[in-house]
Amino acid sequence: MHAKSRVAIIGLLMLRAASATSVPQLSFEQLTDTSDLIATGSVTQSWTAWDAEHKYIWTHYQLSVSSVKKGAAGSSVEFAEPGGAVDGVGMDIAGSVSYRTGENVLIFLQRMPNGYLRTTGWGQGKYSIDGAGRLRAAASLRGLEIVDGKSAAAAPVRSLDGMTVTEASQRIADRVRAAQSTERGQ
Amino acid sequence: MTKSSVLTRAIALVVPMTLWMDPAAFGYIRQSFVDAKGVVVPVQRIDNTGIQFYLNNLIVPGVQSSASGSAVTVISPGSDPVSAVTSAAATWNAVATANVHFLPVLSTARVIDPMDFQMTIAIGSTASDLSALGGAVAITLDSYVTGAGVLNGVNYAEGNIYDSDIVLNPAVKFSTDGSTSTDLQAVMTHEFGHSLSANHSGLLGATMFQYASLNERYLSVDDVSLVTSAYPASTASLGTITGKVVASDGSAVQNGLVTMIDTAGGNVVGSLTGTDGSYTVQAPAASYMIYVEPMAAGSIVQPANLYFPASTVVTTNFQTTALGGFSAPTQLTVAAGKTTTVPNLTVTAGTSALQQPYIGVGKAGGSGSIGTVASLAEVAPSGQSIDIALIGGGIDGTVAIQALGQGVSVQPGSVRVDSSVSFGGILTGMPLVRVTLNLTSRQTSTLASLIITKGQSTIALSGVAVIVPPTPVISSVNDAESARTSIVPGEWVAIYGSNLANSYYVWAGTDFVSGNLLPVRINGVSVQFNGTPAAVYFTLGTQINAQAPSGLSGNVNVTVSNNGSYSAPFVATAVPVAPSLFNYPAGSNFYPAAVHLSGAIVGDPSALAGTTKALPGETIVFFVNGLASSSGGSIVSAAVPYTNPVTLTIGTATATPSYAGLVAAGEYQLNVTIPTTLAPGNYPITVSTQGQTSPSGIILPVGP
Repeated sequence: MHAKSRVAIIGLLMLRAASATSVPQLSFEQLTDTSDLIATGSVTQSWTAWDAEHKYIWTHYQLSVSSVKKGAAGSSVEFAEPGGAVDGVGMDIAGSVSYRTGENVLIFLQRMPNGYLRTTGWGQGKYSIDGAGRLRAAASLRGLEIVDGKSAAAAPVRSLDGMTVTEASQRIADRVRAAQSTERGQ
Repeated sequence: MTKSSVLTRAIALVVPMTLWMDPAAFGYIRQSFVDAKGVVVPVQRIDNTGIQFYLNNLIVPGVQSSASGSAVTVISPGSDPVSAVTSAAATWNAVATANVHFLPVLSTARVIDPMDFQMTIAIGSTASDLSALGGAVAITLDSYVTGAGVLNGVNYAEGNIYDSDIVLNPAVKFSTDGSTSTDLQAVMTHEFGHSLSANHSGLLGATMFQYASLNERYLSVDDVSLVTSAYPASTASLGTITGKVVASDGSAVQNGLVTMIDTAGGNVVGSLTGTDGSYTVQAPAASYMIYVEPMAAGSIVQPANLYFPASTVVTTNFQTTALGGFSAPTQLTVAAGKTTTVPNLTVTAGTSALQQPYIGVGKAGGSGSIGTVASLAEVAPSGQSIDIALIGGGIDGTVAIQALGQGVSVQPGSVRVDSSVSFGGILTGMPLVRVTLNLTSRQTSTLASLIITKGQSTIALSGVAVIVPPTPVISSVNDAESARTSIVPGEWVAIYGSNLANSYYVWAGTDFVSGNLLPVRINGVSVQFNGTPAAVYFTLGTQINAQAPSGLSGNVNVTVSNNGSYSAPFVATAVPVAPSLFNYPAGSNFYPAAVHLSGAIVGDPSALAGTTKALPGETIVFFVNGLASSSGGSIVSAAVPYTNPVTLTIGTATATPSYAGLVAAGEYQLNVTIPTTLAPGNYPITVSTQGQTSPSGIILPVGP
């Protein structure tokens, strides 16, 4: 085979990371709009079970509802996260968020195709409420790039992290009203 | 199953409901769970020396799915999913210090089923799949036993994985050719890491970091150390380092992110502290500095990103602190096979006013040139200077920035605000701070970290830059046997340029790790044609010989990656037929790489000793490149006859082969009887088929 040495520098490439994320980051607006139920409350119990297809194990939680910010719920609501263990079989699905009994939360829930309510955006919809009534985000999912410097291009909105429940509730209510107005105007 | 029955069963079995990890016991960030006795058990494969994944047969180029509710082209038409999966597996197989081997992926019609004991990669198709995906790009479903026993006829110990399935989101557009933003090979490399029981990493540039990016095709030392620790090979040469992180009052710092950096050798390894503040990590033998950072508010790594259950205690009220301080960090020696016990690392109390900023890359020493910032690691070719841009998180022009990593340093006095760049949205009004990093040319990838200090506040951007070899540059792509610039699918091609590889290397037996597939990455070098990985035969800094994949036509983007550094695409032209004789130089001539039926090489003994001339009436075996399009990337186990007319022209005589066929990868064989009309002498020789003739310049010596 011919071995040749022909070198021509045609310029350096600055390769940057692709914008792919394991889980898309949701802005506050997206988080609110895509959630079917937003509520505060306390987790009262949990259990595990296979789903209807006997394909995935889910950990189910019961939330004693204190207040509903979006959607409709009774005094308690059941939601679930994939993963857990049943009958000696453990199943890990990377990235699932978990809850502990007695935990106070502001939670964004989305109805899944299998009918379960699940935390919106892999933990992005979970905020623990500390003793002072402030929110603490469970997961950082800041994966999106912000593009187009010097313009006011759409950018992900930082989470509700650090807000009081009252502040967050007002913001959610404003967003829900805005979204409803948009729907009526269409 | 009713709720009450499940509750009863759960109580009776005291089954673990969530997953967590004990880094103090296992180092890095591995998957584990708490068993019925409250013991932390690592999740572990027992088939690590022969991991058999199956690729669902619907995963083909151009496949569409409507499972998400709308028709989506899940795999772009120009992609090669089999090669992407194969390359991802080969990346893990290549870790010499780990006893891990993925077998060549097989095809299956089966779909996701965690109880079928078959590890399947499939596009999510059912309500169950979509619900479990929950919008993620892909998920790995590791199924393990929570107690010892026999399952499907196999003895399993507690925590052993018996099935791993990988589900691709039917709403996501995957590709291997860069035509979409989700690189299938990078995703698969990450997901295979999960199948090996890897948790996410706290190092932004690691393959197992929580967000997929192109650099996740390549393993960091952190990833390598993890799999080496979990599945050590007999030749593993890691040392162990153990210590404890405490607050000033002596209390344990729980679940602090630990980073160890070998600034001389480029090794970077991360871990977590346990509930007692201790950590134990295995790392390559070297000298390390060590620091710990909190998973505090505003950090890109949060407990849920590492699958912590809600009950996990995470200490956050401390500053990022280095053992010995960042100005003169204590150097810790790790020796192979030895354990180094580190003095307690006492953290500085307080909460940092700084948070994780968004990050961008720009021209060194300049302004502007920052169009994108992200929360991801940046890839930076070495042998140059670059600007890292930081915005948000309280960063301003008063910060001090320190770079940690092999061959990376901050240009003195280069920290400044670039007021020519601004962003909207949440970053409105925030200053963009630039710092110039000088990157010494290097042959392998490494991670660099930045330590940012403002007043009493310190944060770490651990593994924020993936420093890779200098950018490869392709200057031409030719037929490997001539200077012809057209290439044929399945033929051997020569790629010329600079920084294409770190050294001369020819494939070896150890590179053939995937059955009958040819190696697609040798010496840390791979080549892609329209995103499809190609078999690579040899590398040199200025030349790579590779086999063009099948199915190419027209303009083809050829790219080279050298140990994580990517070239710009070079546009080559693919044609269906362009024959050229394999040949060798001797003296001032090029002779056909031909043999007598005895196996002796044909040639001019005056130019190359040991060769003999072809004789009139003798059958000579010639070898041809590009005689026709063929399959690329695999060993040819049975000859494939070539039935189109072929002629050899020797001087003015013509000859028709008694046999023509593909006998090896990219290699056609012609058995030709030398015309008896030829008198002794040197004759130009060419081969023709389908109206195409090989380039001139090859001489056949005819004897006696």
